[in-house]
Amino acid sequence: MSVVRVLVVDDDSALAEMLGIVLRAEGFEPFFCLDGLGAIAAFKTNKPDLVLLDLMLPGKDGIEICKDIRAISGTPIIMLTARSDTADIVLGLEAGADDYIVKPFKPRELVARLKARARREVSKDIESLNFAGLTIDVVGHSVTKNGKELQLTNLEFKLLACLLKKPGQVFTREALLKEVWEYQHPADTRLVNVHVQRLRAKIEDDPENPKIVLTVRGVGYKTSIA
Amino acid sequence: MSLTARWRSSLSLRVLVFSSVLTIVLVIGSASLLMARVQQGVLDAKVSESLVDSAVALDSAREIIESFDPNFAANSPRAVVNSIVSTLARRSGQPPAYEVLLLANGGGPERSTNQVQVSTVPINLILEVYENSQQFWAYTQINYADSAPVSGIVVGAPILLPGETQYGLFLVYPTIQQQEIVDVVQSAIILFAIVLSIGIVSIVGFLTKRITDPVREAADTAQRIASGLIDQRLTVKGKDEIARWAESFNSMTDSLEQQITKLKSLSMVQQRFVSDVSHELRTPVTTVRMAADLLHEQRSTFPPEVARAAELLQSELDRFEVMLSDLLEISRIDAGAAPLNIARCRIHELILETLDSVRPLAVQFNVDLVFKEPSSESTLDCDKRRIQRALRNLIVNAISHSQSPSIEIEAHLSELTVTISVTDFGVGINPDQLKHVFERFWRADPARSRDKGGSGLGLSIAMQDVEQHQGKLLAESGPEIKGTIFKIQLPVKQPGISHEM
Repeated sequence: MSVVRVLVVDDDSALAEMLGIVLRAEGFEPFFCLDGLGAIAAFKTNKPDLVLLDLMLPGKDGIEICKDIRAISGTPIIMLTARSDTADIVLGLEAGADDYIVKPFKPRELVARLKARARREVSKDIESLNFAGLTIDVVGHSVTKNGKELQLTNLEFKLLACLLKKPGQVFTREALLKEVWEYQHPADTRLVNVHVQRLRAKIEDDPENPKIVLTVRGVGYKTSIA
Repeated sequence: MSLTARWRSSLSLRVLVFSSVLTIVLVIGSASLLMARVQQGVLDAKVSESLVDSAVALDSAREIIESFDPNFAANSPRAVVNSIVSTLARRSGQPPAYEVLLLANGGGPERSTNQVQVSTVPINLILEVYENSQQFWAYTQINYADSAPVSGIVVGAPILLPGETQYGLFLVYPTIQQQEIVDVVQSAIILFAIVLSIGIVSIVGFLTKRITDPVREAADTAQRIASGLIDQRLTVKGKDEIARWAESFNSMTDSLEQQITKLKSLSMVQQRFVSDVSHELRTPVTTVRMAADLLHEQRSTFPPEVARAAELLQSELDRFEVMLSDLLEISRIDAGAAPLNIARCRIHELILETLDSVRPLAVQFNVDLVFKEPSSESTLDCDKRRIQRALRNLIVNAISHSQSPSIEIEAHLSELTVTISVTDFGVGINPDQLKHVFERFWRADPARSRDKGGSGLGLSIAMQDVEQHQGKLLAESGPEIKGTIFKIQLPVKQPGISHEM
């Protein structure tokens, strides 16, 4: 894999510089944007593989930027936030962020998350799947529904592939965090809830009344067998 | 409510009952007095009228006796008697103003008008008349042979018939008219007494209600205020004493409310400040953390003193971070911004997971963690993260402060409560200090134990976590126990939780 390009959007220049040092040491190639207004322009010029996005930014807040990036690209986004308790996190995830990390974090933890998000490959034991009008090309990393290609983010693709590999089997949210997000420790299960909803919005005919990814109350999710 | 309890609790009921009883006694008393006086007045007139009339009748009876030839009269007393009675009866008119009885003291013919019985005249009266030779009178009941008795007055006087025979002439005056007047007056008095009693009782009832209602309203309002509805006020009507009282009550509540609002906003400002400071600190701490990590990883290339400095930087930063997050947590709990996320979970699993998370620390301090597993598997409604945090705080506290070689964790299950205990066999805590263990930033020995780490907030956060579940966090230590026992007591079920797993 070529060098992973990371766009860091943070208004704290000391933190940005420090992030730069750590990322370079880990073999990433960082780019910086110190305010919210320039973020989209920086994204377009640098074409990063990953975005590290602070939620509280001058000019334009992280959630807006997240939506704007999602409108043009499926590039993985990790939010940086100082508050783990607010609705901001759910809003950020709903706006399309793949994951979030709460300050202060350990550099090792950040790097692990970045690497997990940067990996595009899904386990290649199956090459393609057909399911309820969906055709999933695992190798080509694309999903078509009734012949029309769907724009899934890398994470959504991994989530769908993971669920479809074993149709009918129930995955707990914790298992999905481990499998899809590659977390080794228990993490926030809201990540799963929000991304399942985003996935349904793209693949289901009626997201309110899903037919492909089903909720198993109190346990987790599964795909229907048919 | 039982009658006694109601009697004791209701002032208006007591006032009403007392005043009713008093009113009724007074009204009955004065009505009977009045009735007696009326009866007396009406009958007195009749009595004097009867006495005058009977004196006249007596005179005419004596004239009749004198008009007879004494010899004839002595031989046929019956003719004399008949003549007297029939003359007096004629005089009596129709209907008769009186009845006549002519009774002989000893042998002799007797006669009465209209079949009036001898029993009409009281025996005492007869004796008095015979012995004293004067006019006497008495109230009586007039007994007829063929009709119902009526009340009346009897006036008697002795009379001497020719032949020295002593007789008593008794005139009986019925008092039917007088009785009718008395009856009418009596029923009027009774009616008046009833109306008066009802009137007085209802006036008393109304007045009592006027006074006790505001008192009751005030009591209810005060209770609502005490339960936290500080905006409750009394309604002020008019300008009397009760209105003034309501006004003062309201102004007292106003000033209380102002004080409370002031204190509330002060404490909100403080909580807000703590929360903001903690958040603002996070970004620079992140930078410092990363820099420290970098230095720490490279420390083998530094001279020994600098390497040690990098290590200290790293470990103190850990402590700083724990303190920062605990502070934030406390400020969230204080602000009531930490709602519970309650679900049913397995107690066994909850404890095992917690033990896994503290095991590295136990290994570092060389402490054995012993879990006495309960025989049966059971569930608990709780915010698992919060209860695990509380339990972890207790275990971490025991590991780092008790100097105990082992720590026992045990769960007691009962139908309604779950008790998770953390027992150490270490130095123990003396009773004076035990009172303070859940206080913020409190340390058993300020001079010594600061280097053991921790924020000083762990136990008080645990306390909040448990209390938010309506549970209890208890600590026991003392001579009879070696070491210290901390217990988390939780209700098995939380209200409003569905039974799905």
